[in-house]
Amino acid sequence: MNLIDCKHLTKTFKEGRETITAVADVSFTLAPGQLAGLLGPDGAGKTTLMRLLCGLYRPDSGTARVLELDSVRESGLIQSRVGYMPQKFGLYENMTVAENLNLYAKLHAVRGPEYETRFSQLLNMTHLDAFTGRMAGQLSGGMKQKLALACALIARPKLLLLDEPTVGVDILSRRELWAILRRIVDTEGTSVLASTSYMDEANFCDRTLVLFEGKLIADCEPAEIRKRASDVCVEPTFEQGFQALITGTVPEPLARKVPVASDSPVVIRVENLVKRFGRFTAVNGVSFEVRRGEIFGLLGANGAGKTTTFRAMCGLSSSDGGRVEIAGLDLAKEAKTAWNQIGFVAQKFSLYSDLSVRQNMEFFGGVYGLTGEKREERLHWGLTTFDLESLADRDAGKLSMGYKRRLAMACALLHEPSILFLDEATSGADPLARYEFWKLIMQLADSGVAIVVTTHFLDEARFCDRMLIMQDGSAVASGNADEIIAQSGNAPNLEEAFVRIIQEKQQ
Amino acid sequence: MNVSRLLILIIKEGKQLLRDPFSFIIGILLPMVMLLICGYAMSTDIRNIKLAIVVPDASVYATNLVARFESSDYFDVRTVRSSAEGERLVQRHDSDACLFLPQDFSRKFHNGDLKILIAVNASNPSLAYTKESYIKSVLLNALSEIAKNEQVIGTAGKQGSIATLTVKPRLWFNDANESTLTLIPGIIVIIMIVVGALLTSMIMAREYELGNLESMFVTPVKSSEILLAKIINIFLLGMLGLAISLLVAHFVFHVPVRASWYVIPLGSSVFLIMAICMGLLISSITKNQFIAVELVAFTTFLPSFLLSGFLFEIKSMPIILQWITVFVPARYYVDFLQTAFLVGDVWPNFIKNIGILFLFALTFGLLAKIKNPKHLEG
Repeated sequence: MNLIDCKHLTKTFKEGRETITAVADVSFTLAPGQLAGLLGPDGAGKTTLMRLLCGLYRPDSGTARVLELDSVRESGLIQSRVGYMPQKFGLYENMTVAENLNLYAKLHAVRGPEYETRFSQLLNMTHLDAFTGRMAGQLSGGMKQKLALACALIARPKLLLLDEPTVGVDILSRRELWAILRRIVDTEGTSVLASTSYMDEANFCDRTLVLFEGKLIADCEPAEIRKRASDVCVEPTFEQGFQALITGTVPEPLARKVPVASDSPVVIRVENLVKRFGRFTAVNGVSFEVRRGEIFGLLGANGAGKTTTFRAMCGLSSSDGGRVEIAGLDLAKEAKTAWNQIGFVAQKFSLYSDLSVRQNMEFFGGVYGLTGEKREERLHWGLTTFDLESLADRDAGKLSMGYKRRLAMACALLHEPSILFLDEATSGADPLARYEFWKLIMQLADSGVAIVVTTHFLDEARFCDRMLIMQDGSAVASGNADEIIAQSGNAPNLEEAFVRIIQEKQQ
Repeated sequence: MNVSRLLILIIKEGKQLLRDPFSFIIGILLPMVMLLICGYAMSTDIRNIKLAIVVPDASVYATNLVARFESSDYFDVRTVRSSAEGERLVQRHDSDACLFLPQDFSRKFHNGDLKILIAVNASNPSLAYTKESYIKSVLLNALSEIAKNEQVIGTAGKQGSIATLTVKPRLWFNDANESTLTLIPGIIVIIMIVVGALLTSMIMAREYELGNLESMFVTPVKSSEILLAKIINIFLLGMLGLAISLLVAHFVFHVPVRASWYVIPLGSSVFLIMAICMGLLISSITKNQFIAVELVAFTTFLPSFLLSGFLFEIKSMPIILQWITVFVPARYYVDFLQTAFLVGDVWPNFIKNIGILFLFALTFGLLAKIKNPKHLEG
């Protein structure tokens, strides 16, 4: 018996005059007792596929049988029997942890002693025992995800569908979540289908389904995908396997062409930065320097204070102590002059979706005071450097994520800033797009721009010349990759070093 | 439909409503604030009209006339000598209006060819109209009284002119209480719409946005149970708001309730359920709080204000607008409430209005149910 049996599933959406195919001719089956990962970048069709399986969407063509029930005609039965966790958790934020669990238990008619055992078992497994009385809205991102998972598990479903359960949480919470999933599969015989855009998570799965542009391009064990890249590299990662799967090869490893000179002038100086929100200290005495032509990474778990530091550095929020110097200017006194030296790409890109590519660039150029010939010249530079010429008259909202990112970069660089801030710019991007992106960043740094990035992808840290790891508002480690690894007590790689440093501080 | 599941959902909704300060503000605080603000501020009478009076020569009559205006609470009088000065005062907005008394006031009055110019700053036309009527009524009243006194003294040859002056004032100071009496029922309509449609659509759209409904859909729950649980809780909150409104209306503004005690709660329940269903329908279509609020404002709130007959008489609207009002549920509720408050038990009126509201409720309820099966399409 297969828990999932999809045949030629296709789903399209109409957006204005255009028809977008979100899921194209997807067929696969899932047997009991498997931990399957549905991997793909943002916009690959993961959420649509999940919703098709739950009967929340109706397919245009093809069929999906879930728990041997038809997803269209018997959607009600499927919905009462599967465990499902949507991307946005679906927790009631002004209800406590216990109340949320209780609600789902009652709706699934789980009562009495059965409920008691399940309740304590799930709380124990998710380490939420100590927080039963806390409002769901006041939990950290990782804890919310675990609670939502517990809610989905309350009725011991045979099949668990999880839509990006690890998005936006730090590496420790991600590992913990996958460990919980593994336990459920092993001890309860549940099958799990969990989608994710983090390629490295494939290694936690028994089986990987790779979704790219709506199509299922691979369905096998993760090792097989890694093997794809084995001709080109030694010990390939899943990400390299993915690149090989799509392009047939693995791009050359990225490296700086012009290393940062040791006498390169300091362009950003942060001294003892403090930022408080009420009684909560978000950033507590952080200091660092960034030199001309350097790529500097700001890393840390959720809530570590990265974004707050970032905002204070850009002059987007005031600070409660310390000093930020941008290109020799004190940010507190000369913010307006300093801003001319800064380019900023926000997480959501902040583009005007109803303006064309060119109009967006004209607007941002205008904001920075570019006019006349100078503006035309920079516009031309932006369009050619970021390969946007053929798309100049297209609405920014209609661009793919990758091109939106390029446009946002172009807009941020029009006024030739000496410093570029990038906030989680690669979140949800596929490996190919991320490779392209970092190639560009390195070129920019080679030309002398100082670049500060925040990122969730720890493997991206290796592209940074130096980095700062933050936790609970303080800097816990800093330096280049080798120095960080040394500080962790010689972990095998940067990711492991990061985990060790954070764990050590937590205890 | 499973009753125990419904109960679980109702309890959950209740808890959330009680814990959400926003629902509490909209359900309880807003009715009180709106009633107080509207009750005190929205009455259509005007006080302290800044009036300039041009008195070119002192005569008994003119002095008498000025004294009349000065003794009234409704005017702040300033007398000037020349027309030019009067004009300037109005132009500079130092005065709202200017009354130009002619030269030879007494002679012209006796001869019956008295012409007095009233100039009003009409930058707000409807206010200007009201001010003008106030001035006119004081003026006419004063002149006719002066004329009457003349008659008592019995001077011959003035009869003709006196006759032309006895005019019955049309707007003898618009009674402040009178306007409150008709406004309060209208405000209750607005409150019911805000609690019903606006709050419902916000709560529902928020659950779509936060993914609550998506995960709720993938449980044994039926969509009718989700909808019903929402309707029941918001209904209770809305009825509480109504009770508060009625108490404030009665004890603070002394609005009488002339119909039987149960009539207003009965009609209001039907209207409230209709408003909630409308809110549910709108939020199911938009699935987005911001758009839902915009839509509610345009499709329910504004029509309830402008096209329900609460502020503007429906009969004096252009014919097309009159036709549109047929589809504005608030119109029937306003008619019902005004009758119930001010007239008494008029059952044909009640049955007609409540019946129509019931049909609206049924339509919106069914549409909400159709738009809200357990899936996320469209």
